Amino acid sequence: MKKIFAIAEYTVKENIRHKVFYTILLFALVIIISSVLFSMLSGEEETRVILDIGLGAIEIFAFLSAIFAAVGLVLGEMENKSISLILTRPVRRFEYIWGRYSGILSISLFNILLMSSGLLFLLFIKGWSFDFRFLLAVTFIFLKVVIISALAILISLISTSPISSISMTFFLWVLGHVTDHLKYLNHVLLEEGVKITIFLKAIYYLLPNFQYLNIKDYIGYPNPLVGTTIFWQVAYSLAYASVATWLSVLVFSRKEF
Amino acid sequence: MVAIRTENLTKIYIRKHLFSSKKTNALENLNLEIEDRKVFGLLGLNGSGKTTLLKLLVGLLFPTKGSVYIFEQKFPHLSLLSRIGYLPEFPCFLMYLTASEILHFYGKLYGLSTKEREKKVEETLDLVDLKENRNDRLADFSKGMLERIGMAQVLLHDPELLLLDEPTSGLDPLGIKKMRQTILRLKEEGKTILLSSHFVTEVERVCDQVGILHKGKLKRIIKMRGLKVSLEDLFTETVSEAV
Ligand SMILES: Nc1ncnc2c1ncn2[C@@H]1O[C@H](COP(=O)(O)OP(=O)(O)OP(=O)(O)O)[C@@H](O)[C@H]1O
Ligand SMILES: [Mg+2]
Repeated sequence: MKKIFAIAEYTVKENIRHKVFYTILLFALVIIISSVLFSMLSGEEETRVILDIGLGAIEIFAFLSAIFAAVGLVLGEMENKSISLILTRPVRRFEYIWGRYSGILSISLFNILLMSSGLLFLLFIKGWSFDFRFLLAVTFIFLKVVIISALAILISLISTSPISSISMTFFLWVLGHVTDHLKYLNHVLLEEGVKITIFLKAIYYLLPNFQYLNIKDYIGYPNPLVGTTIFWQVAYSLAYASVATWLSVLVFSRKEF
Repeated sequence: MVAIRTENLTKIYIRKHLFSSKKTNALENLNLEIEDRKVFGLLGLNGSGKTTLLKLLVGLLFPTKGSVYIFEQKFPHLSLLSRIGYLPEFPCFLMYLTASEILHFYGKLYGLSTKEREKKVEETLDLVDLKENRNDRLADFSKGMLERIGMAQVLLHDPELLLLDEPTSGLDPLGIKKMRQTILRLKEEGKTILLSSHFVTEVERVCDQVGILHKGKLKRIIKMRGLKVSLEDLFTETVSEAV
């Protein structure tokens, strides 16, 4: 546990010393602030627009920073071989992966909290009355990041170049948001007489289901959420992420350096 | 006691291409025994398998066949890693950390307490003459300074067995001399050292025993004490007759 913590700690250190980290945060804050401008231009309710743009920005930038950390740091360390000075010490392979992963999650959590406070501040200035679902929305953005970071690590371990890992992760991120279309695709194919239902079903269950976690769509609308759904959504995210991370451990344990 | 023993240690690299795969026999049926408290030199041409052997001994590579015993315990074994110090051929660090931060980080991986770490880090930084640079980032270090940090991380946890992959490459004459003194001092302290090199003269000066590796095979083991002929001649003879 101590070693996992040590590795997580230096992952955080590594991240905050990178310029990319600040660039991402800065960009996010600029977009969140400029949402005020958009809100004035559009005819809709001001806070609604700020909320939409703000949460969207938080999600995208949290995703970008997680990808940067997972691919840049983990793959980078394997490529430049500095990993060999870690693995030749009494560190188990799973400790390395979980340490890296928890470090990346800590950074993401910090990023999300910072960006959300910025957004909240702005909303309050505009006279928004607090809705607890804001917290839920932010939590669920984090859950998505929990899943995508685990996948990004797994992909970095399998693929050979940063470019391919990043594009693969992007691809999964997008696909994960449109999984429901697979059902539609299946429907259309069946009508055409093509039966690949099992195959599509398999893909449907293998892909991360981000649509399932899109809580921010609900804020401001009548609330369709109940406690049990939230419980299952959280359980789903944690289970998905830990399976992916243990798969990473499995792949990593066989790797030579 | 036997510090390192290998039994039929074999490593075949397989490079997979799209339709074919290329096999390299980097190490073949290596049977080696190294006594503790000795300096053992691995001598071999480029590509003879020195780095491969050292990496197998620290668990960065997995043997294709055969086994490794360190201090008579089957390797890999996590606790053995605390007793080994490893200097890679091209030491590479997390460059954004400072000299003292990186050593503290490595120290944590041995489970050293903060107090122990502070003492050890200061000691080793002093030993490699980097005390003044302790708060400088490794990114600003010269090549020679990085080599010295490389040596610092080897000594940090006071290991009994040192595996040094070409410890003098990249050092200036003064650095080479200092490395030689360090190796001899460590031997006095009772450490076991396995080092690889392709410089006959370097090996000659510090080693008790020399193994000649050629194309993945251990061709000969030479005891330096009482050696009548020159090591260089023996070496060139061994590697040319083996062609
Ligand atoms: N990762 C790898 N994949 C495939 N082949 C490899 C790999 N690493 C080394 N080899 C091959 O294995 C053989 C032994 O290499 P090794 O690095 O052990 O040699 P060496 O004795 O350390 O050489 P040098 O003196 O140049 O450092 C070489 O033929 C090399 O091409
Ligand atoms: Mg080598």
